[in-house]
Amino acid sequence: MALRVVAVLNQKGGVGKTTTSANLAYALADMGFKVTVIDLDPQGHLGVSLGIPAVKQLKGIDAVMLGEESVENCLLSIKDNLQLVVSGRRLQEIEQLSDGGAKRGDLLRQAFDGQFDDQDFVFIDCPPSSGVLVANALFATDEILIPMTGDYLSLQGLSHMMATIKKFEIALQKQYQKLLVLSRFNTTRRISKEVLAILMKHFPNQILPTVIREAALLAECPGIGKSVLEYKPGSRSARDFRQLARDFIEGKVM
Amino acid sequence: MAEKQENNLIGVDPLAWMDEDGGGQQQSTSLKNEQTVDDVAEKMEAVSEDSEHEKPQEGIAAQNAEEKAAPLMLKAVQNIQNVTELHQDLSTLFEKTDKIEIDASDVTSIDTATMQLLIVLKQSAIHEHKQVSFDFPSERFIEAADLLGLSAMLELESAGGAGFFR
Repeated sequence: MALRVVAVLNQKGGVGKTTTSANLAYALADMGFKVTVIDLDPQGHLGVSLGIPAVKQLKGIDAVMLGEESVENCLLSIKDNLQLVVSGRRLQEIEQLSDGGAKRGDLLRQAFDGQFDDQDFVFIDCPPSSGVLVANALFATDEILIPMTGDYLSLQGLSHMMATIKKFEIALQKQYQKLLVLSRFNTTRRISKEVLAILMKHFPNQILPTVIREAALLAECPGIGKSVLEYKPGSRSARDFRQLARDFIEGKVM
Repeated sequence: MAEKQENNLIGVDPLAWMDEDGGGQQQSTSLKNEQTVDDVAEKMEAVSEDSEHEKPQEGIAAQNAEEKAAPLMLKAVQNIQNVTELHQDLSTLFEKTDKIEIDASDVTSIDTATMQLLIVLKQSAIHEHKQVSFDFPSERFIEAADLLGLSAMLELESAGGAGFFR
């Protein structure tokens, strides 16, 4: 299959970007797909979530974007079919780059060129911001996965992000394929149902039908350094992510 | 904009502009979305791993073509020596289209004559109900506009990529 580069993006924090990146990638790798995850958040939480302690995250995608290392030299094997590029300690410097005009946004796409030909998926776990790093993700991808929680502020954040994406679509003369994933969701809450209704109105056929339900277990996983599929493979959360991965592969949407 | 409906927890739909703007939605070739919120809530309670999802729509939807805006790239150095040329380019675009996108990412130096031209363009666009926007404004462009107190008039806060390249 052709390589799919997917940016996991939402400018709002706490919506489950890293949880989705780690667990969806893990589930896809379990299904036999070759997956690389890139931690584009200077906080380095994706690496931690997959068992790479922050102190060991010396070089990663920062060095790649700065032209100091090849992607190949920064790949860490997490398990069969799953590899990780950590954020690296200098990623925040790239976020603050002020020289180079729009070219600052093209560092990642250039670094990716021809590097993932043997992979099925590359997931880019984006930071909760709207800076140079997110611009790099948007330059490098045609596909955006947007985790959304069931609260009003998430809708507000999504509105802001859609305006940004639209500007990029016009400037880059391309249209992103957008998929929403309902994360940390509790549809027994009235507000969540109303949020979902609004999402379904504005994003018909662009929402993955499997909802990732809020669970204490998911909050425990980063501390253990394991995906929920490895930590508690029989849990409801693990089943949610396995089903989400199947939906993602089969293109099931609602 | 969506009006507040009685008994709704969400008064104003923050995404309503997407409909008004005519974009943002990827339209599917399939017809109706037959799932309801309650359907989804119901499914959440079904913890069976093998449960089938009702009426899934296959594939990521085909997309609406964006209404094309006329793009114009500002040169790295914009000053009195090339302002006439810029004026001609902008005048031509202004006559031909209702929407002009100006890419200001390469600007390293810009003088007041050019800024004045851009302000006149903006004002003319307002009178004629046309749109002029700036994409990826460079630091120097933003700095110059700030110094002259023109950022708000040029709407640089909402410029495409403005938040990204600051």
